[in-house]
Amino acid sequence: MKSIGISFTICIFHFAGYSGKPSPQFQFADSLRDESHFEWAALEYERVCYQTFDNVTRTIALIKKANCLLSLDKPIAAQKTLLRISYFSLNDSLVYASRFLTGYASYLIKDFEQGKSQFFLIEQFLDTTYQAASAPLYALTLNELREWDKAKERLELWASQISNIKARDSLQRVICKAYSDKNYPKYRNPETASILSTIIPGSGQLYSGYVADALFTILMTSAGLGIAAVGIFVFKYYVTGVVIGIGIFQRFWSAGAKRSSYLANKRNYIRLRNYNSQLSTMILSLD
Amino acid sequence: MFLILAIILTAAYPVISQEQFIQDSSWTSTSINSDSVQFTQTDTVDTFQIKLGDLDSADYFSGEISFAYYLISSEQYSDAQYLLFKLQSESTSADPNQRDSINYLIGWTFYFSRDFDQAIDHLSNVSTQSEIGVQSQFYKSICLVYIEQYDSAKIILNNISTKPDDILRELTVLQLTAIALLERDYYAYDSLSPYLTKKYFQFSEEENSMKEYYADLTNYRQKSPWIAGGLSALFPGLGKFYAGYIGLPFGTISMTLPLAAVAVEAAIIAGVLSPPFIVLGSLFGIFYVGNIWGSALSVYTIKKEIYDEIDRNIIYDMHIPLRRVFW
Repeated sequence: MKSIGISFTICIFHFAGYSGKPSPQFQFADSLRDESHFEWAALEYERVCYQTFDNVTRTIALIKKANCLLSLDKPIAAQKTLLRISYFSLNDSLVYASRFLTGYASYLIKDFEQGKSQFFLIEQFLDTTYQAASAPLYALTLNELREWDKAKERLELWASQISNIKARDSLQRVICKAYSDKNYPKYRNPETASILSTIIPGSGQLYSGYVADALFTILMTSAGLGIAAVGIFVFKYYVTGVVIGIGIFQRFWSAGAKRSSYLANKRNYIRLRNYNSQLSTMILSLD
Repeated sequence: MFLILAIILTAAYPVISQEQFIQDSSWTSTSINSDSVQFTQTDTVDTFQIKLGDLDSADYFSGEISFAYYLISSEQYSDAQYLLFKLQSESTSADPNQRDSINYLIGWTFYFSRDFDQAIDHLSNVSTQSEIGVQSQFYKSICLVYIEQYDSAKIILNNISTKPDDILRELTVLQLTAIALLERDYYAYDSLSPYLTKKYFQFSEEENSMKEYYADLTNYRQKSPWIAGGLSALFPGLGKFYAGYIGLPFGTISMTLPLAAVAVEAAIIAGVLSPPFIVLGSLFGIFYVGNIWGSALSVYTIKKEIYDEIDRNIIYDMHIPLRRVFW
């Protein structure tokens, strides 16, 4: 939620000054929006889409409708609305506004691949000013996809647009420090964890960094083998020893392999969240 | 009076920019066509209310209903519902046909949101004499089918007035035939099915499907729970195979057979009256008897699963023709 708040601030900043194509068609909907009747305003913007044949007007209406939906805390509906935009015959500024807002809505609903593709298109087809303007949110999106090198590159582009040399150098130092290779969270492969636990029970949990979990698995699998051994060699209950002892061993062995994969994912998630929240704080402080 | 009030308000309120998305900030490096249109907040809303009064109400509602159709056809159901409820609250000045259209469309959006009780409420408000009376009756009947009120659905369908050799007559028969199958009333099915002529392309495929469902339902022979239980008594899991399950029996076997082996070993080593055998044998006995009981019940479970699947398909084949005929 924190990151959503962060990016919302970025988005607010971003659309400052956006003024679209003035048209009396929007007056009523705009007045509703300004009075915070967002649901009604969204409907009236949709009506503009319904009534117009002009793609520019339609696009502006969709952007405004999406903004109303975002105000209603409906980012999924906002993204769906924005994905209806046809980019034929739009000028660069409108393409930028549409793609940026789509990227923002996608970020809010954690559809990072969609967000990335929108920012990538800004990067590929629009000039550096637009690229730099979208860089902070693009970087936040790339962070979530573990593409830190690319995120760093985007933020450096953004910093390079600052005219004050001292401030620019200072920002670039901050960015370089935050995106240092040695700070990147170490990735634990869930498959490796699972294979390790299959070979030696508990080793996958150790690899994922969960010592208590590993010790418990080792204890239970050993207990299973011990019960089997005692049953067979001490009490001469061969079948009972095998069924109960091996049954316990097998349960904890196979469950341990699955759990170690889960724990690797959990560890990756926690590390990613911790690192990305530091980066998000850093990106916000770049203002 | 309102006009004067609006003018006064217009003068009193501060002027704002039309496209003021959000406040200024140093992040902005890209502004777009910065022309702005000056207007006031309340002026526009009030003017709209005044315009509403001036509008020919028939034209207004007609335009709004067309807009609602557009929203529904582009699957924007929440926007459509918002618009339609707003129209409904204003609909005292609408003509009866327009009021019916509003109720019909509200019912329709609820139907697609699978809120059948609400859909029935709104569809019931549509006059049967109106232009859309017949289609609203059809949709109301299928809503009743969804909530398993088959008798009410049949009453509605039987009360729809249609002409002989009319597509609606045959559509009614198709719906009644489907309800007969849902009720497993094969006598009713036999009496209705000869009227399914398959001459209307909109639902000839569904008419064929009804025959297949009838065959599936009547040809299905429920397995004997006694045989299923007996087979499981002979060998754990076999009864579930007989009932029609493929994977489930392996789970049963993997639980019951090791317990049997343990109990047998305890009997051989310690004797049948020994505590180990009593404990382990009882454990095995619980699983063994439970498995027999489960196998007997699985015959009914699998029958229910098959019937539920057929019922879902029947209702789907009731729904598709309505979409094709009425929208």
